[in-house]
Amino acid sequence: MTPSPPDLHVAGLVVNAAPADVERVENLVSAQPGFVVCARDVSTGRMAVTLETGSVDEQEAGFAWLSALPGVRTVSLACHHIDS
Amino acid sequence: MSTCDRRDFIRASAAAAASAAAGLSVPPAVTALANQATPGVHWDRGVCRFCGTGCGIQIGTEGNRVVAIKGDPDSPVNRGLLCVKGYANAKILYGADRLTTPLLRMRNGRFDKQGAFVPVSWTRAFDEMAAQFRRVHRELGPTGVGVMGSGQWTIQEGYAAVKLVKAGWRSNNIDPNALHCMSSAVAAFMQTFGIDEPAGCYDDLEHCDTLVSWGANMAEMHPMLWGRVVDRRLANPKVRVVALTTFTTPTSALADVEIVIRPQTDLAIWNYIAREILATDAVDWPFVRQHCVFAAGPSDIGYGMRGDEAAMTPAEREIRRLEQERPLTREEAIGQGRGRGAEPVAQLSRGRAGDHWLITLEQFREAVRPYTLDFVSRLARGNRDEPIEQFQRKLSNLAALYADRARNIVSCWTMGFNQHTRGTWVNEQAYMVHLLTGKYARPGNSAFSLTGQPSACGTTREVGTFAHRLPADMVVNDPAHRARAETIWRLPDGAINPKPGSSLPQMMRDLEDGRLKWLWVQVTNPFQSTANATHWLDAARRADTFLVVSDAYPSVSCQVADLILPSAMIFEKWGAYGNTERRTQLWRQQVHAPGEARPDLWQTLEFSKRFTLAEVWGAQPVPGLSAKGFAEGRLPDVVDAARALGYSPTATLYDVLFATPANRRVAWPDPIAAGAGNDTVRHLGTDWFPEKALFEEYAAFGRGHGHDLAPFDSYLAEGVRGLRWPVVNGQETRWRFNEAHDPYVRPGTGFDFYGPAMKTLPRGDMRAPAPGPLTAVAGKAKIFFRPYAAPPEVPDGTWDLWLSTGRVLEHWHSGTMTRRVPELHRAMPAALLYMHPQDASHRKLARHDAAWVESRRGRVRLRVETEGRYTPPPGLVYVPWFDEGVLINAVTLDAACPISGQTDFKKCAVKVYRDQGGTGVA
Repeated sequence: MTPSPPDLHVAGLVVNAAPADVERVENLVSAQPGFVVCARDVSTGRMAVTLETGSVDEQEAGFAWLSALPGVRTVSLACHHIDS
Repeated sequence: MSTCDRRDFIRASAAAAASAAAGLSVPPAVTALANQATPGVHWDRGVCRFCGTGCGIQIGTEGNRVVAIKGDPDSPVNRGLLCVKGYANAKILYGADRLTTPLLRMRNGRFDKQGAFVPVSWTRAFDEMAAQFRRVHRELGPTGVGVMGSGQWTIQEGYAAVKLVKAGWRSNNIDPNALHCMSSAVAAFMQTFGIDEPAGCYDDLEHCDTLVSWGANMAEMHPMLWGRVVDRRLANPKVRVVALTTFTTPTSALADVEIVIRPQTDLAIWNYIAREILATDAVDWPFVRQHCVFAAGPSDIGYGMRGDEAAMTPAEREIRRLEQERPLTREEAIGQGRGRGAEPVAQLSRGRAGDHWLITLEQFREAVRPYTLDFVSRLARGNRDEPIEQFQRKLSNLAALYADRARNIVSCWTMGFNQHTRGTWVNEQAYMVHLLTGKYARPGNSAFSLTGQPSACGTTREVGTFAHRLPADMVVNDPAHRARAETIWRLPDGAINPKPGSSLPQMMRDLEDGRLKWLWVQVTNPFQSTANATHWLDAARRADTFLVVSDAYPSVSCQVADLILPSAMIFEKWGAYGNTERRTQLWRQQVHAPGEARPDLWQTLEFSKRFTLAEVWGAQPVPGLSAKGFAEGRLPDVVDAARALGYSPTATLYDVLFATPANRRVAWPDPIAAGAGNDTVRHLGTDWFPEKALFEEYAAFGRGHGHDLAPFDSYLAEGVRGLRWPVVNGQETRWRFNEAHDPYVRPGTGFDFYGPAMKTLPRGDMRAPAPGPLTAVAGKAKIFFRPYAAPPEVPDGTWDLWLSTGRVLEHWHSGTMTRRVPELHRAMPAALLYMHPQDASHRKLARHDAAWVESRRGRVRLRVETEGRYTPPPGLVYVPWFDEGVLINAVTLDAACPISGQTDFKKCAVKVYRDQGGTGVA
């Protein structure tokens, strides 16, 4: 399998939510460790979010948590950086 | 840059990339930080190697390692985003069990079919491969050897393979696994329009008012396109999204309406929609009168099952009998205008399934008349718990969406349509409705087959890596097409074999029957992906077969191989892919492959050095060959004719086919490389640029013939992110056949379906063509009537459930790459049996219990899932096929669309029962 996990994983995510749910989703995401909401647009329901974790497992769990939030329609990756 | 600064930079880069992809602004300071260069990381652009969407990516390399992947913000396809598989483009290169040296089965220092795999040199590997080729070629001639590939071949790899097989070995036994993916779409394009590939493009997603997903799970299989659909839907309240499916998937969750249908009844639903369009006079009469004709064909065409029963089990023969004669169901009889059903109908048109003829509008109107809402709703309702009135309202509303003149509409489909015993028909029915309403080849109006592989279009369809095809939609059984290919390839007249070869499933059957004994598999895993797999796995281990598998990782196909060749992966070589919307995209080599792994293109070219013209261009036996200008069952000796062209009989196929004087003038190194290496050149030890020379040679087939590619270098120019063909005068084409967009359309016509194939036809009635003169229909598209036809194997008292197979978000096809990515593997470690809780409880099964799924062909053991992301209706179970530990294709039926040859992986009958403690695959 792949080499041992590096120390820092940063993912840039695009979240598509129902416009009416944007504020609620933003509050939930902002309160979650590792997540930062960088930008959002209430009219379109789009948010730019970064997720910073120490392992691929944590990143995977964060992605799954975000995807399952009520009101979240899609979560897409814009980038994935690994720094060791 | 300090670690702290570097991490600030990474955070800023991620924020900027996500914001740009979302179309949002971030503070200028963040953008400024993100725009700083990363020390030591070199960035170049490429294309994702997974599905057919063709997402643009940015590849970050440091030394000889890919260290970062990000969505290309300048790509018009994905606009900076990637799905969960997309960012694995780097990680798939670095699985611990990469194949890094050729492996040959040996005992006591010699090849032995029963031996263990032993590392050998490339020279030793090719020596054995060539010796085995010669053994089989002497015994069986060109039809005894074959090559299987896929839509993962780069354009250059596929082109070289076709040229070696068809021009060099004079065998047409080359076929891609794309036959499992979209050959029904190809056949329908050819029959309807006379030319392959879609009129529209992804821009239609932003122009449509209605999107209907037919038998597709776009949310998981084409996530970036689905993201564009979601954006369109959320930003425009009038937009409607409808999901027709046989079971609930994540695509249904975002749709406004989900319509769960019974397998195979899409055929009836389309005819109901057509009936409604006629009844409500929603026909675009000027468009239909000027640009369309009506057509029909035989319905007694069988199910593409094998011709003899010798190798079949008794249980298999129960279904095989239907290939000859079938009692029609009541619904088939009504839908085909054949009375009340039950009478046996001989399948007399099996050898001419693609025949068709012109009918009149009134005949067409009569043919769809039986498809009333009442008839179709009772036939098609997929969930018996859904009230029939509710299901009828859904169908009625669906028809109204298609009929609404004020709405642009896109129909998308994937394997639910294409993997279908009437796959060609159901594709044609989509065009039927879009053509009737004039909703085709206009912005926002499209009927679109989404492909599953990165170059299913660019390589397999456009290059023509099928058993019957040549590049640019040409076919081997057309003398004019052969002559054109022989001219471009500088071959003697009569060099190309006019008899189509065996399709991929047929090659498997040939292997079992001893008609094919030497097989080279590249870029695919057919012994996992072909239906009814037990037969083919056994055949591969026959004493007199020799199976070569080129791959990057061990696979099921490797397990039954005699020789394994280690292949370079996507960014370890130069390449080009063509995506679903006709967009051709190129990339440079970024890193070297590990160990002795080498590009597939190098493998083909290097192996071609081992054959002289005298060996393969002499007279050759071809059983069943019967073509004008050829002796029965025999290819002519063309060695003397080759001499007249200036070739020596001792020249190698490498010299004659690949390192031609013209190609040698395309020099390496080339400034377009911008410092990138080329391991094909390095290992060939040459000074020409095969990837560029072969691309340009191939492009000559399509230029001036509606498939124009741009010059090689222009695809790598700054600011270019692929171009959609035909590219004429530097301009790509977004909507074909439309005068406002397509330079091939005759001026003043408005629309011109200029595809040349199958455009001279007899007239006839709903049963048969009539004698009389043929009618030319140049410039027209055909509106086909195709009736409802039941699949050959349906649930009964013993085999009481439908089985549908398919894919999952995390894994790509047979999982050989994505299962090496830890996070993808952990997210979906094993295939599960998705079933309705009622069906589970009736069998005394609970979630996570071990159960067997058994058909007439085999059985597999797996865990039950009643709550997962897929929710089948009662009576249907779903099993993904990515997991080699759950070889579900030992269970599936190898029935196919008789026109396209594409297997129906979506429908067979099984029983499910609790595992009583046994293990493994039976």
